[in-house]
Amino acid sequence: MKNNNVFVVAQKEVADHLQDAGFLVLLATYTVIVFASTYMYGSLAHDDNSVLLSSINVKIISQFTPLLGIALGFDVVVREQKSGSLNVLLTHPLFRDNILAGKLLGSTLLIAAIIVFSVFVAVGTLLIFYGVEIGYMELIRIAVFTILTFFYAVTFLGIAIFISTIVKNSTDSLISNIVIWIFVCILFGAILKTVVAILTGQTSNEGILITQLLNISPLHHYGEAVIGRADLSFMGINVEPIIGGIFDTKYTLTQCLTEFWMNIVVLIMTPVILLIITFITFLRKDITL
Amino acid sequence: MKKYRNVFVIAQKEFADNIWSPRFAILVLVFTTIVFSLSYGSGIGPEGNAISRGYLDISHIVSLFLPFMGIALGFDAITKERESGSLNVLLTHPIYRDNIIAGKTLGAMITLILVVFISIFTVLGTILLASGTELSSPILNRLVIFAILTYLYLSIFLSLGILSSIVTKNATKSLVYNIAIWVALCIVFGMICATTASIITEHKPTDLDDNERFLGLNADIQKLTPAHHYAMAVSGRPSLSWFGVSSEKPSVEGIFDMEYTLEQWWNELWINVLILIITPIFLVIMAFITFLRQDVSKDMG
Repeated sequence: MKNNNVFVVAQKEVADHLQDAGFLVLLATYTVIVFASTYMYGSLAHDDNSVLLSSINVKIISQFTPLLGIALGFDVVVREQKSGSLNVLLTHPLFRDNILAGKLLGSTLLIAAIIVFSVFVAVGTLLIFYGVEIGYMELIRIAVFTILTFFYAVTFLGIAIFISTIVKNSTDSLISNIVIWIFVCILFGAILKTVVAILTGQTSNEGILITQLLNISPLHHYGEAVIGRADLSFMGINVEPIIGGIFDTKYTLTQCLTEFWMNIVVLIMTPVILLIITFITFLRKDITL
Repeated sequence: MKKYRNVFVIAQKEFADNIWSPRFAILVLVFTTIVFSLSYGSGIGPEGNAISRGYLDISHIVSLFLPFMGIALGFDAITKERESGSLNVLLTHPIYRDNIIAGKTLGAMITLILVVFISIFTVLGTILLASGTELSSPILNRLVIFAILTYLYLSIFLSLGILSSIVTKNATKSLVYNIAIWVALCIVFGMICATTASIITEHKPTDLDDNERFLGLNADIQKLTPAHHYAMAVSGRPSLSWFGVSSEKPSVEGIFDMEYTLEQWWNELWINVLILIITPIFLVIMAFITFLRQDVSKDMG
């Protein structure tokens, strides 16, 4: 019963988001993107062993899923602080960590629901328009894919909430988040190529430096784990993979997980670390208007 | 001239506000980095005309991501003043509403000129340094036109931002809607309209037989986005967004196609340029009309 407060805050957070027109507009945009990209990608010929898995457009999903995390997290703390409701809330018998935990829980649950929904949209598009077969093996891998996408999205939720605790108003928070999104998810590969070319003079794709630097980006770990690609960003580095991630049906799921356990651990640990940093920052923060 | 002094004072204030805000500095820094790194990549690429190749790469990035810069300059032009209550105070002085909106628009447009010039010169400098190509006067002419087209394209999003800052209740909402419009119209519009055309005509996008109806419908829907007109004028490609289907390419491949004169370019693609000019004007007029009759109390009644 001690944690009842947390659930009340979480419930309020989910309800707030679902009634916010801005969030719904972004959610609709995201759903349309998932649907259209799957539809276009599915119409290409796929000669892989599993038609369903190779027709899911992981690249587009990996580039636009962060938008959801950002939409859910960018004004979590700063909104309450600006409207003065954080002060009022704290006059009640409620600790600071309850508030943040509740807000995190609410947003995380909502993200989980949206990811599951968008995977249904993607798979459903393929089933309805192209009549692709689905089997037991594919279902399991899609479940793993859903979990990985969830952690990937929560990473960006963590970044967004962290930024929302340190900035002064929500528009600054949203702009910094969009800049991070463009930088990390879309143009990271292209920028990295230039940095490496200037530093070492190499223009090849497979230098050691470039592979090491790619480790900074959550997109790299997500891409490696799901389809084995080192970089999914726009105009980025293109290396043919040996094992195509969990979507490669030539290997069993256990083999894939042993091969990519490092990437999966990074995907799980990054949001946890970000959330801890957010907690520490929030607990000692000045929350006057 | 004295009559319009108010407008210039407000424009000057808006320009100064924009230039000194940390947000503007961060955005310019990030976009310059992006533009620099991409043009460096094309500068050290294979032999050939590095400048026109580099600018084609850049026009791709510009058409996808630079609209955000325009949005960031415009989205809180009016809401900022209304939320802080300064709009009411301002209107108690001998100044008309249209002066305020004209000044705000003018200030933001001038800031945008600065942004476009910073990015164009970054690209030019990087390509010249990285590839060592010589600059000739025909290329320079075309660069100026490229800069003007880019400016017109970004000003569409700037005026869209100003318009939405008038009709929405707070700056956050205005920004969120603008981001949704930007992502839908510039980044993913190609695949959305190909999907729509494909579903309506019941024709698979990759099926190449007998696909005139699909391609025709696709080309018609594409005309709805400003990104299409910019892409046509600059690179001669109907769609620069992701997973777009392109058809009916014009014979002149954009502003950097050196085989054609500028006159031929104009004859072929003048409609697209015209739309790029008219759209921002239209949006600014809409913003004027909306603002003149609007409730300016703090929470809009």
